[in-house]
Amino acid sequence: MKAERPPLPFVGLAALVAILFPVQLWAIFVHAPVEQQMGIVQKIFYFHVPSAYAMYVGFTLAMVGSVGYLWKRKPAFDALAVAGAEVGLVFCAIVLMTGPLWARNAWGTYWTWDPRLTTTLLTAMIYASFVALRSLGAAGEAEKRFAAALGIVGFFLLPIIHFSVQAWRGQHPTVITGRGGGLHPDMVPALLLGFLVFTLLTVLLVWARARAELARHRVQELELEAASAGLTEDPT
Amino acid sequence: MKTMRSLLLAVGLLVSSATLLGPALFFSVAVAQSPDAEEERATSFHAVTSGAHEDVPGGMLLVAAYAVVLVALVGYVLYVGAIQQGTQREMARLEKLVLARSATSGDTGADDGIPVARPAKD
Repeated sequence: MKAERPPLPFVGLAALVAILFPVQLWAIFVHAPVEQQMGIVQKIFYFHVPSAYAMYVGFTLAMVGSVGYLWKRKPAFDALAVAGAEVGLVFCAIVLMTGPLWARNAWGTYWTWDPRLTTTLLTAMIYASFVALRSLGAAGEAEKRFAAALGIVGFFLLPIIHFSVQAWRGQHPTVITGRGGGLHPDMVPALLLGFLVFTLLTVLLVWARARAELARHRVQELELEAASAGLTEDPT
Repeated sequence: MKTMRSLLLAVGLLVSSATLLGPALFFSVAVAQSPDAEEERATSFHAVTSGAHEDVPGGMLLVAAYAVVLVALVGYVLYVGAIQQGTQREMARLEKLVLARSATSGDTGADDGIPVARPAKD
């Protein structure tokens, strides 16, 4: 059987990401200056913050897919929810691992129960439950609905993560919020490019994963049809 | 499987309860804190100027962080690729099964591509 070719916009998007990724690395390591207080480790910031943004995008798509599935019961919405949750969780894992590596130098410790760190960890746990629930073999209708509910509940933590640095007094930097003093002008292009690359990457990964999930769903349907038609039984 | 489902349900309920309590905690602590208190954390990033040097070596941490990003993204792309390959293998297996059954029963296939099973002859 021949594999289905990906659509042209998908290939174009992948090519754009492949071109922009090295440009972003150039902007980070050549164009952006080294930070005065934290030194070279501050360059984690250019991947850490866009990853957090990509996590928001992924989890928002998971919420849209979950609401759509509970409402319409269409497999396309379910595939979007699964893809959004998985991709969001990958970026959430990147945030939760790169942040402590930066914190080791900046704060002298890998982890502290700062409000933003704690709420991000809680969100990761919710979406990890979602992914675990959907990974238990072929998910039934009950698992799909329960996972969709988790996808919606988890979404409501995102504004709390985002505004926690403003509302709670923690240790997390507030450089690009309204309260912050801002970035050196030469640091801005690397960050903006990071946002662009990670947004495109999120769309690309969600698209690929949703296509794979829909194909898997179709195969499961065909298996059921084949079984009900007696095709999977031994002809002897 | 049933135990696993019950465990997942319990974990889900626990996490959901924590999520519902989160906003209450968020607003109560936010109200309790004084907005005028002096910030002790970083609120801006400044570039190194001539003559100044960074005083914290963080090269290994930076390499580790970029390795994490690379491993996570490449790992996920491989995982999605594995799912697609598994689906293709399963589709090919179904296709072969249908063709084999069509050949033995002489059925040419229905509109949806899956031949209708015929009752076995006595």
